[in-house]
Amino acid sequence: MRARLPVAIVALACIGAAFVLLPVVALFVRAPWSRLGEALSGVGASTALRLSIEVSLAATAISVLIGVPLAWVLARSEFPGRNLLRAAVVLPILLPPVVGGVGLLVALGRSGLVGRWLHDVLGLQLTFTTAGAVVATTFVSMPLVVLATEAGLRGLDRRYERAAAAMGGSPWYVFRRVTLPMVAPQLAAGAVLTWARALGEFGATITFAGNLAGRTQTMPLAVYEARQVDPGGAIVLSLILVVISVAVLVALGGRLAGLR
Amino acid sequence: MLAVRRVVVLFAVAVVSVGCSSSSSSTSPAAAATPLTVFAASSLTKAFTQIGQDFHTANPDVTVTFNFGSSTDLASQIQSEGTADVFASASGTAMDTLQSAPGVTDRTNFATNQLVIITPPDNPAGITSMNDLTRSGVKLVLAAEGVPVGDYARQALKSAGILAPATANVVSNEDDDASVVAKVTSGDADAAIVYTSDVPSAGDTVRSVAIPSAVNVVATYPIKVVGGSVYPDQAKAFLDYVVGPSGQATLAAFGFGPPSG
Amino acid sequence: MVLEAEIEVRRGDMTVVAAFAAGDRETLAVLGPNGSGKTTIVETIAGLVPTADARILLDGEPIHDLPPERRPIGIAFQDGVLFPHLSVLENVAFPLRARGARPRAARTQGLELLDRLAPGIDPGAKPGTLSGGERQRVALARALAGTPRVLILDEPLSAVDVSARADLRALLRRTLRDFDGPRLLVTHDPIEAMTLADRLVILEDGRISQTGTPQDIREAPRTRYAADLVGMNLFAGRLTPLEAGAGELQTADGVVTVPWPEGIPVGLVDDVLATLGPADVALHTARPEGSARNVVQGVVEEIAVVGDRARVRLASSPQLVAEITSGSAARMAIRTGTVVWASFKAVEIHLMVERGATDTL
Repeated sequence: MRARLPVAIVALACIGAAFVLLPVVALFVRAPWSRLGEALSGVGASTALRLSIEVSLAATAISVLIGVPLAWVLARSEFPGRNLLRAAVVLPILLPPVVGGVGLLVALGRSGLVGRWLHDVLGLQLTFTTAGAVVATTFVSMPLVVLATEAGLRGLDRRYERAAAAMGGSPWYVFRRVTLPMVAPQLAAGAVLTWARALGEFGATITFAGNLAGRTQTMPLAVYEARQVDPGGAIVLSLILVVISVAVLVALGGRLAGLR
Repeated sequence: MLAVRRVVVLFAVAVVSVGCSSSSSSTSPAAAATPLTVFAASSLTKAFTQIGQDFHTANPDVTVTFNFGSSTDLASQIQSEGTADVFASASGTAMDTLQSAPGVTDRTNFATNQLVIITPPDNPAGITSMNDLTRSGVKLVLAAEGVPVGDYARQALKSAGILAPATANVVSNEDDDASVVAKVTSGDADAAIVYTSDVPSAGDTVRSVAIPSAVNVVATYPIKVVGGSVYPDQAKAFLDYVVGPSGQATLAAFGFGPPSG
Repeated sequence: MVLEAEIEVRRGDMTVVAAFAAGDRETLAVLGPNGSGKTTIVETIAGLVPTADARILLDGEPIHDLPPERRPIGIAFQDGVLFPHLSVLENVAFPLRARGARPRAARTQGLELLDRLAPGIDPGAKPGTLSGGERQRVALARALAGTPRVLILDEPLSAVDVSARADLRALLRRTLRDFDGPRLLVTHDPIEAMTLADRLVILEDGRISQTGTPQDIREAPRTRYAADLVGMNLFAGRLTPLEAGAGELQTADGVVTVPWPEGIPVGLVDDVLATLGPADVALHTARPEGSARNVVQGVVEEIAVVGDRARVRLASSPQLVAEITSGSAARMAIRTGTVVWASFKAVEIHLMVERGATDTL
């Protein structure tokens, strides 16, 4: 016996569904199916795709590596300025990505605050490099895994960690064998969101790392460039991105919903 | 359940009917405060903003709103949306695409521009001539192919016979000349090729290195009233203003050359 | 090995101040109503309360400065607190692995403990699939896994079904008896305390109100709570069949007729406990006639009048505490030294029999 939903709710839900489905459907309808192969090679689809996957996975890995400890600090320790730190962590989500890119530029660009030292002392320049694209992407997507993990940590029953300590577990052992496994679902959901955001990242990347095929031109950048040169190709690239994203998200399916 | 099904059907009908109906609707021009939409190449940003203000002072009943971007981009927007009254492009090619649809009236050349090499003030790579762009390790930034200034730059490099080695040094293909300049002012690029008109407004944030006139490109900027504009008279007035003495003076002040007729 | 503790902790709006010691091979029960601060004491000894001011010595060596994972203490928590994402065996092996044991050795030891304390439980099962009693057994095994020098049981029976308690209580008694070192039992259940402990510490509102053996407290309860605690008559001993449907419980100081417990095969049964409410004991000035199966004669050792109730302690076989109205006590002219008859029905006696091993938990 199905629950009776109020008509207004159903109507709004329909609008919501149409809103997100329409652009995807339109892409499928307008794609130049007849000259697909030519369009694909013309806009450097495979190179852009490979780069996108590399950059998004690297950004996700780094985000998890430094994001999880950050989440732990935010959730568990008390220190003055903690709220300020959390605000700073959330900021990249709120800011337009281009603003993030500009910030990275003045911080890590060749004449940047820290970038100057990187260049003069270590001979490193991040702008115009794939590493730079990874940095820009990590900057905008890390907050997602931090927030999800922090929420998960806050929701944990602390009795388990206390019991683990009483059982002889050092703080690191407790973290590794009790805390982390128990917060794994939320962490995983956060990591998936981070990866999704990383895959679609554009503004900070083009501002900080630039746009060069094979080095910094990820799929979103390729689409942007293709718009001017080959609108049909832009549609094809967009579709590839959509199909891959949908495939991954459907495969992870219920786990994403388990953001408990 | 029946109620739900009914809503879904109604909704589907609404979507289909909206999709089938024509999208444009004509509104009669307002008597006061005419809004004029001008699409202009991004290299014209500073010059046209000034011209827009001056035009409004001279014609208080017209307010000019600008949309600056790469000419190719703007051309495709006009083709699909058609919401511009005036289009000022950095290349004739971009404008040619609009010849048939939505059509062009009163097409005039109003300025020319040339190319110049710019470097950060401290010139980290020591660029003093065009040939220095071929030195290995130089970080060169250009606008992407398909963007007028990007095509012009490659044309000049080809004329100079250094297209291949220079292209090997390209580290980024930007979307418009403003982004190219930004990469130089931030100090991350060693050199870039942009319009001469970009230099005066950049001031001390860049150093310029001349490109020999033998290989330099003269970009002719056409301006036109967009076919189907709802304010053709005011659009023509703006066009005349740009081509007139006041507009020309402003353009010259911002580094543009006179139209070659 | 002796455990000495001097604790002062502020928790919420209560301050817990307690000083006590548990000797070698002695089970000390900390008994008190809910909210009296018992769990605070356990957590402080475990080192889980950083704001506590505590001096805790093990054989004279201070351990209060050690972080919790370095204290040689094994704790079985209320409701187990078994790690939900680890299997039963992994839970039991946790203290071993945490301290650096190799996986194979930890596994072997863990299985051995499980075999002894929780036979019949699948070592690969997850805690979520176990019953309350099963969880407590696993918790006990886990507490013992690290070969601790002190064993602490925090309300071990409170999260267990009444029907499973008898078995678990018997297991606890055996385990405590076999544990080499001081043991701390924290509970709010007087039966748990009286039957498992050698000495009691009564905690009320964060302060110790009385300490002593169950006998001491029974003889001289110092607070209302203590008095209520020992109000129960407690019999422990061996149960032998008497006739159809009835048996005899032979205790250290007498024999009691009891109904034969359901489901227990007729024969000798050891380690049986029985309680009897004092109000169920009737007093008579002469030998009574009637259906009550238990009739004993005794000398009044003490009368305590509390309001309209009089609590009468008898030196009898077995020892009894009876509760009658003060009016009746006066009418019967009961005084210390008076000889009276006490009677109580077999059916008023509440028996607790261990159902024996395994799968009937």
